[in-house]
Amino acid sequence: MARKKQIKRLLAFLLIFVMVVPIVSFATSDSDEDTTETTETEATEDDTSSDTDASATDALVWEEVKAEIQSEVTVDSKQDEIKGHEFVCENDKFELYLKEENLSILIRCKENGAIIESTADENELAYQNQLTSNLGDAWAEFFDSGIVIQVAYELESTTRFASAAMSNAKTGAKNATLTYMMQSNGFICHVNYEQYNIEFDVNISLTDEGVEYYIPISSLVEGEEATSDGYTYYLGYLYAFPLMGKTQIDAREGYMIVPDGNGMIIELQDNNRKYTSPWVSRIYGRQDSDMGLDNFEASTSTYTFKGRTYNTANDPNDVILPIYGMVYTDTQAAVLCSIDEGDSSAMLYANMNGAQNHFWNYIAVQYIYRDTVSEKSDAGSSGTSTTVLEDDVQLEDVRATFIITTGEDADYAGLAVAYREHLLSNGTLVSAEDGGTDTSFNTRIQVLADDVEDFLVMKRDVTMTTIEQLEQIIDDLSDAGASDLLVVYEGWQNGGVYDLPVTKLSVDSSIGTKNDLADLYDSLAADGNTLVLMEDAITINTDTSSSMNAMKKMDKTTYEETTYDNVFTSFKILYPTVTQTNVNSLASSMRDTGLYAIGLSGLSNEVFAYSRKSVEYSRLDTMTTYAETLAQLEKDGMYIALEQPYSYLWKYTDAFLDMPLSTSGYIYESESIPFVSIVLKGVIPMYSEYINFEANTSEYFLQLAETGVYPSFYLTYESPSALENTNSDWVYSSEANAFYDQIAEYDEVFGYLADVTDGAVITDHEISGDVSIVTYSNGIKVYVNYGNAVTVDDEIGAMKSECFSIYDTSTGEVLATYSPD
Amino acid sequence: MKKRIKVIVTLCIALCMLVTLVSPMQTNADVPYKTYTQNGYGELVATQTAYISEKTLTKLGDYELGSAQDMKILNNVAYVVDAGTSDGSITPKIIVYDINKDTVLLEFEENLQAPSGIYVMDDGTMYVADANYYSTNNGAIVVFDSEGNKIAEYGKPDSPLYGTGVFAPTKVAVADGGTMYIVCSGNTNGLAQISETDGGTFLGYFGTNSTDLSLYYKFLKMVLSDEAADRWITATPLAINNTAIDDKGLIYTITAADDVPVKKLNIAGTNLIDMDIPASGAAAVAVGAYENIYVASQYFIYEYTKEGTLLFMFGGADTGIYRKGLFGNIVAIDVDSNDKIYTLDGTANEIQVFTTTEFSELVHESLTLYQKGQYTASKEPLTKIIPMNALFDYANLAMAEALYQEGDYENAMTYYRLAKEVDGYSDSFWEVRNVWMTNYIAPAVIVIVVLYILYRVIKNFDKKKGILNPVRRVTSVVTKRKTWQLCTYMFTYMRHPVEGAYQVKRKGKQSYLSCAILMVIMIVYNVVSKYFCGFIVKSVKDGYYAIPQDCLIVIFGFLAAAAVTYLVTCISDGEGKFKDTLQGYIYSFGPYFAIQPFIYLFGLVVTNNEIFIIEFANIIMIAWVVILVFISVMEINNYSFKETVKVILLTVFAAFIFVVAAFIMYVLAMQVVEFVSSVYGEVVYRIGS
Repeated sequence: MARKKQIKRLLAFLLIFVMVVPIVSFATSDSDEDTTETTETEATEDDTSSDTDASATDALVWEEVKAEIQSEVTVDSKQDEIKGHEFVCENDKFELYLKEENLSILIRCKENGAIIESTADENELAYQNQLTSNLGDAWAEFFDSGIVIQVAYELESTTRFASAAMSNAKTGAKNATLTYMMQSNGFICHVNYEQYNIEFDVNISLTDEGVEYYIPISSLVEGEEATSDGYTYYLGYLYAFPLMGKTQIDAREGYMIVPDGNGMIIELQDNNRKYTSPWVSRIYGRQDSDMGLDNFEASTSTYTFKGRTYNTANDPNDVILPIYGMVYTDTQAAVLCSIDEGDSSAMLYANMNGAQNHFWNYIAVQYIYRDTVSEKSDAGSSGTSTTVLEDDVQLEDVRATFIITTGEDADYAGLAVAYREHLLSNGTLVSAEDGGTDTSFNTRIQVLADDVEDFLVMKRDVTMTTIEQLEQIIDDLSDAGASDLLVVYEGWQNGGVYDLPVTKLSVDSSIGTKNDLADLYDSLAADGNTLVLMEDAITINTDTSSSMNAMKKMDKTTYEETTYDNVFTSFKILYPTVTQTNVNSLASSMRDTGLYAIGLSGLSNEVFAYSRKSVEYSRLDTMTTYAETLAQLEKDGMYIALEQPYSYLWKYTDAFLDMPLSTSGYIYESESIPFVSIVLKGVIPMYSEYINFEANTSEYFLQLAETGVYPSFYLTYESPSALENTNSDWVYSSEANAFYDQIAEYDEVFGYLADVTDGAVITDHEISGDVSIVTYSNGIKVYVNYGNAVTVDDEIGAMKSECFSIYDTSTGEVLATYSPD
Repeated sequence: MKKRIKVIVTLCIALCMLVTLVSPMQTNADVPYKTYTQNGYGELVATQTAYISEKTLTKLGDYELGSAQDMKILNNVAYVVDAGTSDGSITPKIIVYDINKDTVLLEFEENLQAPSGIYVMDDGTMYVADANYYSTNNGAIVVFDSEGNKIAEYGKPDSPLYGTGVFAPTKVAVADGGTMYIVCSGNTNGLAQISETDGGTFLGYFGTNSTDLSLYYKFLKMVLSDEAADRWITATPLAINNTAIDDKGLIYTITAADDVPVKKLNIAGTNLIDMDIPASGAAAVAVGAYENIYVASQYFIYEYTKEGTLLFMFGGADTGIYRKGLFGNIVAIDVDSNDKIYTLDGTANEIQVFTTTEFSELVHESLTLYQKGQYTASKEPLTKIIPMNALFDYANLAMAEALYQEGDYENAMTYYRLAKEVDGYSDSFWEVRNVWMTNYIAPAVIVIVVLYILYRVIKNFDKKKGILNPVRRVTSVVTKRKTWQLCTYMFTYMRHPVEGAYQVKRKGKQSYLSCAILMVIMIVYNVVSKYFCGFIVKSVKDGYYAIPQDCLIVIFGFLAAAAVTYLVTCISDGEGKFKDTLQGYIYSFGPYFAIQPFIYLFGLVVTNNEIFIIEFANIIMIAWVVILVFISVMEINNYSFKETVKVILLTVFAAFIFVVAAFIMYVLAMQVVEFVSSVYGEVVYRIGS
């Protein structure tokens, strides 16, 4: 009897369950429209409760989430609150909203109502959690706070091999005490992480360009006393509005702008978890972990044959300008973050959805205030190391501007133009009208004078181009029709190109004398050309010079670079202050001889932290010293050519050498864009990398036309086969007489292009299939067809394959068309 | 003394162990990878980019590969084998994908269980190797028509010749007649050759790898009993991993673990190629339009000429940064008629397509002409290639051949020299020398005769008038000195060694100074002969100098040999002193001092045709020296012939022991150095600097 009762109860229970489930389900679907909070909870529960039919459920839910996201990308008018963010202030172009609980900001563009927010909304978080179960402690707070930090701390009980560590967890502002002080154009937020005893201010102000944030170093309080858990905490990394410009999977249309090479865009599309790691790069070049600051090292690939090691991969390009961006083509709104201060110690991350199991596309900056340093505690091959904290904060003030463009300007070209204006206004760039550099056309010929090779127990000169032979090359080029030249002469110093450092104008006797150089300089100047003496300013060759001034890393051992080459197998780097002294001394010596043009490499594109006499110096210290060096040269009236200079040196740059025309070749790259060229064209003359080493000169020819970069050639008078046993054995194609015709052709073509654009800046750039269209401020348009087929354009009509045409919009006339051959 | 010798031994070994790593260079990087080629010394050197990444196909249309295994390309269509995923979300199948249209034309499963290899005939017939088609390790070759319909299957051959092993086909290549060459997993007998007749007839094994024993194993075999040798020495050949077939029906095999990983086999199974730079860890092979051989290893792509000369090598490991031209693990490679290379990455599950650059197109053009023997025609592309890369030795060699054919021997010599090609240089030099001799032999003879007459006249005058007396007075200052006499006594010694040894031992014909002078002269001889000799007889690379080692070899060699001999003779009733022994050894090298200058001079004008004269002179010289050494040891120590042999053998053995001891000392010394260095590092770290 009792058993029957039990069965009845069970059946009743099952019946109720069967009836309740649809009702609950119905109620849930209704509540989607009511509260997003309920959706979040339900979505998470769905995911965790049912793995079996996950794919079918995901597809359905994602479509809903996507629709919801897309429905909230614009807001027609000014509101008191948008998506939990309350109105703060406005100007002619933008409205600023703030969500106080997590320091999230939201910008509404008045022109088209597009909104850009700095944190993920609850729908997105719920969907992310559904896909990955949960984000884990390390990332849980990263996506829903405007400010996120990682703390560094000293261990309570130190051991020999670990005395400090960097917390892996990102702590959001949500978990800090936030105190706001509203201002007319923004607000100041005092962020107090009480659990870590870390405090600082974040100033937000709305500007005509967009939004600026400013974190003054003076407001930072850290490490003053141990917390209740016994640890002393310091500010390690800080992420400022990391999701300012983000989208989940393919919910939005648009692309990320990545400052790789000349510029790269990554479209916002569903990657199906194809990429598991993000694009990562330190601003102004990587820093080896043993030099103290970060844990990022470029990938290396080597090949070993017969006991020799060969590098097989080229390093990715350095980030030469501190920017990143996101363009929403669906709402015609674009945001570019210009890091104006704090760029010395910062890392950029571009996360394609799926990477790191994050299903947002976002691009963000990580400021490195203080890092852990891995210091070898013995010099043995085992390399046992101790982890310690850097003594001092590596940054000073942090300041960045989110430059926002809308409408037709909401693309990479519009952002590049706005960024140029930003740089001109803050003095990083100086326009020609304001006393900037002359941007008129030249073909760069970089000429190698001398190197050395082993001979018995000494070295002997391998003289490639004497001064007399250089004059001959210039005359021959003139005869061939190339007369606009920037002549960059390297390896002129006594002992050849790798006899470093150079502290005075001491010309190798095998190539001529100082007076010969001065005569050549004068004769070139008379023709309107420039002779630049090129120098690697930071390298020291300890085979030829004392290593007394060789830079020591943060672990107090001397930094050394192995070349795996024939004659000199390794080089070291000078302390920045020694570099400064050397460059000033050399420049003074040059001026005494009447030479006023200097070319520098190393100094222009290397930044590092170091230690000297037990004092640690930051990358910012190095940058400051290098900038002072160039400021002095400029003050002394020197013409300064820099090899691929980082943006903080652009104000001193008279010639930008080795401008990259493409990118590092990432598989996820959607398109290569001429972002840097658009910014600099018409402001600083840019010279390409050497054309004689290009494998595909046809494409390169067209790229030169598209970017407005001037051509460069590497030349020697003698055959480069003579260099086979020198450190210059990378020069396999340089014999001058083989390039005269090509140089003359490039001189004519790109000289004409420069003439018609007449120092104008680029105002627009678009890519339409295989054709790129560049618009200059003086009304000239350059159409570049990379395709193998004839194309037809409304403006210029039919255009043959692989060529570029110059079109004058004022007359409606095609001025010229050129093909690579 | 012993201590000094040990120090010298240690130094010498230390120097020998200093290996210089030579490698890459600054190349202007517009692609993520560097490209290398082979120079005349058989080394890798950087060159222009030969192939650029055209596209990376992470998806085939909308299809995402689960576990890519193999791929063939036919008329811009990729036939891809996908083994699927272990969780079953992607099942094993064949994908036929139009690359240009980015469309999957066909995909079929047809009960495939573990497909891993495919071969596609010109009509689209597909041969698929499935190692588990029937059951685990019981596989088959399954044949499909171009529509994906199964038309045949070939399981394990019944023939007893096949053996009792499993039949697990992993790769397959098919000849025009339908004969299949099948790679079977773990089968060490070679490729299973099966014809289509009678539902599959096993024809035998082909291309079996040889079982060459290393010296170590040969030694073991010699000293061990048969039973022990069988246990210790595994003489099983390596299993073949992949295969391909070219238009001529030549079979290519890949054996990843072999020292010769890529073989091109003729019908007799003989390897036709010899690679200076083998594709280590090769995984796949394909043959291009000019019979050039494309090989893929895990991370790299190699292109060889049909003879096995490396034209280009590029690629690299992608460690999760997703750059074009870098790989996770290449499992298949193919090339189309436009020289586009297609690779299938088994880790990234993607296809990368590489297209030629202007440089490699020119190289291919010249390669075609060169291989046809049209050397003169190949000059046109070569004149463009060489300015693009003056250090590209393949082009220099081809240019040299072209110039040689045209009779421009002097320029041919220059290019042969650049290409480090001795035979061609020798032939050209022979021609140039022949012309020179034709033009100048008569004047040269006249000059010699005139000089001889002049010599006779002066000699006669001198006899009568003593006109050379002033010269004699000057030279006698030197020639009367004892050191001079001791040094020049070497020439007497080489002719009268018994008397010479007596003079050394009893009459004071020895001094350390003369020994030192003769050693210095010998070092100079060595250096000049080694570094400044004619190209044909040169044994070291251009630009390579090892002067300290050269000095040490002479100094240390004589001192060590004399010391060891002296020590042995001391305990073998020898009468010689160390000084006698050293002087005897140095005098024994008299023939070297006398003959080497002539060998050197002859080496400057010699060609391969006369090189035997140098070899012959060397043999005479060495034999003479050996005899003199023997006589020196015998006479100075007053030994019998038998005793001398014994002492010399003991000396060799003792020298070996000393070298071993020196090596041990070196290792210990290095430990001490590392310890001191560690302490220094610790001090630097703790105190700072």
